[in-house]
Formats: sequence, C-alpha cells, structure tokens
Amino acid sequence: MTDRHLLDRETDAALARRPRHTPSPELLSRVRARAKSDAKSSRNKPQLARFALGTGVAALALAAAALVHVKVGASDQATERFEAEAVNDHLRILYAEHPLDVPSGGVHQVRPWFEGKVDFAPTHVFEGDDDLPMQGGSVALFQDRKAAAFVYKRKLHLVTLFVMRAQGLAWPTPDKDEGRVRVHFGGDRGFATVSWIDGDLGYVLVSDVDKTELDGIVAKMTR
Amino acid sequence: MNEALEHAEPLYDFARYLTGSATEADDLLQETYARAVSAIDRFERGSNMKAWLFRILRNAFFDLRRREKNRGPHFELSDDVTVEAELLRGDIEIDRLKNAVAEDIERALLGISEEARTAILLDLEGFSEKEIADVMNCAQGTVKSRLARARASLRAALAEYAR
Repeated sequence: MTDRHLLDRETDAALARRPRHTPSPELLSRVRARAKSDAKSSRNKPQLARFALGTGVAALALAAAALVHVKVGASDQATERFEAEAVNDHLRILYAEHPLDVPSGGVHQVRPWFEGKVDFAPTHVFEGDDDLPMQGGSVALFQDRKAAAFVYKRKLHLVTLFVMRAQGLAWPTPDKDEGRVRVHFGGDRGFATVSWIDGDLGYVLVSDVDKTELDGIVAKMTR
Repeated sequence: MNEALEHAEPLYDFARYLTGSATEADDLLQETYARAVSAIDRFERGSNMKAWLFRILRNAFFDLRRREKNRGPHFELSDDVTVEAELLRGDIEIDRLKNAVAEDIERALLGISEEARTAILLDLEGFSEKEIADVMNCAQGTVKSRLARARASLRAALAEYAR
C-alpha cells in the first residue's frame, strides 16, 4: 500500500510542473492604465458621477478639470480632447453608484424617457439584441451639452453610445464608410471610441471590447 | 492600487485555469481590476489583498459562466471509492504522477470541476486554509477535505487521460 502523504506529495510535485500563464505586456499595460484611471475617477466620484439638469457652472468647471491632458506634440489636439472626454463620460457611467437613470425595457421604453430631459430626439439608436442587450440609459454631459447615453452590454464589457446635437463641437474627421455614415475610429487609455454624424445628431461609441467585437458592434449601430 | 497591481500575474494564471481561454482570461483580469477599484472602499485594511482579488476574480468568473453550460468532462471522486481502494492503486498512480508532463497536468486540471481546480490552485498560490475558505466562500473546516478530494480528482483525471 502506498502512503496517502506520498501520493499527495507526488501530486503536488506534478502540479508544480504545470504551465504557468503570464499576461501579455499589452494586457498588463491596459490593466495598469485603466486601474489608475479608474482610481482617479473613483476619487472624484462624488462630484463627477452624475450631471443632472441645473448643476450649471460648477458642473462645467468640474467637467473641464476632469479632462485628460492632451498628448504633447499631438497633431490633432481637438480630436484627442474629444476622445478623452468621451472616455471620461463612459467611465463616469461605469463607476457611478447608480449609472442608469432608466433601466432597459428595450429601446421603446428608454428612448421616450429622454423627452424633456434632452433638447433633441435621439434617433437611429440600436435597439439591442441577444448578443448586445441594451441595459438602459442616462443623461450625460458631453463637453458643453447634454447627451443621451444608451448603455449596452457585451459579455463583461459595457458599450456606451452617446447621442447629442452635433453642431458646435469639433468632431474628429471621419475616415471610414460604415453603413449609411462615415465614422472615425479612435481611442484613449485602452478604450476605443467611434464617432460619426448622422443628420443633426452626433454619435460617440465607447467601449473596451476587442477590435473584432467592436467592428461588429459598429456595424449594428450604423445600419 | 499599486499593491493590487502586483498580483496581476498570479491572478491571470488563475483566470487562465478557470476559463481555459486566453481571451476570457484577459477579460476576467480587466473586469477584476475594474471591480476592485469600484469596491476599494470596502477592502479591509490589513487583510490579504491578494485573497480579496482572487475572490473578486472568481465571482466575476461565475458571472461570466452564469448562462453558459459547464465545459468539458468533470472527474469527481465517486463516493463509492474508498480510501483503501485508492491506496491499493497508489503505486501505479505514483508512477503516473512522476511521468506526467506539464501538458498532461494542465489538461487534467482543466478537466476537473471548477471547485476542485480552484481549491488546488489557491493552495498552490500559498493561501492559508482560512484564506482559501474566504475565496471559496466555504467553511474553513472543509478546506482540508476539499483539497484531498481535489487532488484525488486530479489523479483520476490523469488516469483517464492515460488510457
């Protein structure tokens, strides 16, 4: 008979030979960048979590203070500020204590909820499907104006679509045809941003899903 | 958060063995740190941050799996198998363990139940029985027997793959 302890000892010795998996440097960088950014947003959460009507000058000042600094030497600083703002707004939703003002009963419940809360009617909003269900919506403040934020979920990732009046903002130059619109792919701090204009409204999508997933999501959003 | 980031590598290894997938492990690691930042106010200073992070990751894994079917065969030690019967097979098992290569071990680990795999991996990470109990949300007194059963499951899995 073989001693149980010997069996366990040999089992542990075998387990010590198991392959050890290490994260790629890119993944580690992404995790570090996001963790530091999230920690910063989290410290400011009481002030920045929600921007409801009537917060006025104080809210705008806080929003300006929360903008990420522009990269030194960047050629399109306005685009980088735009993308940084989009990511900041996405993070505010991500880490707000109550991120959704209206939980989803589908787009036909969420979209009408915005009436009277934003000064436009959000149109051409993807209603969600089994792979990308709509979680709900909230009012966001994008630079100097209110935006309708529609939040979706893809596996463990949130996807936020900001819809707002397009006029008066420095929109990134579109460089790719997607459905009936032309879009611009960008990003900041490991998050992808996709922006486009459709009629009078501008749309900004923000998420950290990987590229292959993002392409499919954009195709759904711009049909 | 700097202290939390020091544990990224063992967390990722754990995530790989939980999911069996590099892509899902990537997602899990990111989700873990996102949840950790969100919940940092609830972390008890002086307690083991590594164990806390492993617990967050495991809970995130359950959220990921909640709507998915269990993957792969599970090798659970049958209640009918007595200790004596196991000891009689011991010499054969010793040889099998000594000759098992890394890929065999990984395959066997991925083939046993999540609970058995988690118990083994947490033990290998050097967690105490109390910490293992905290991560697995079980009674501390059950950890030793869980580990024994988990090791037996692993040996059964190796035996199955050796056929």
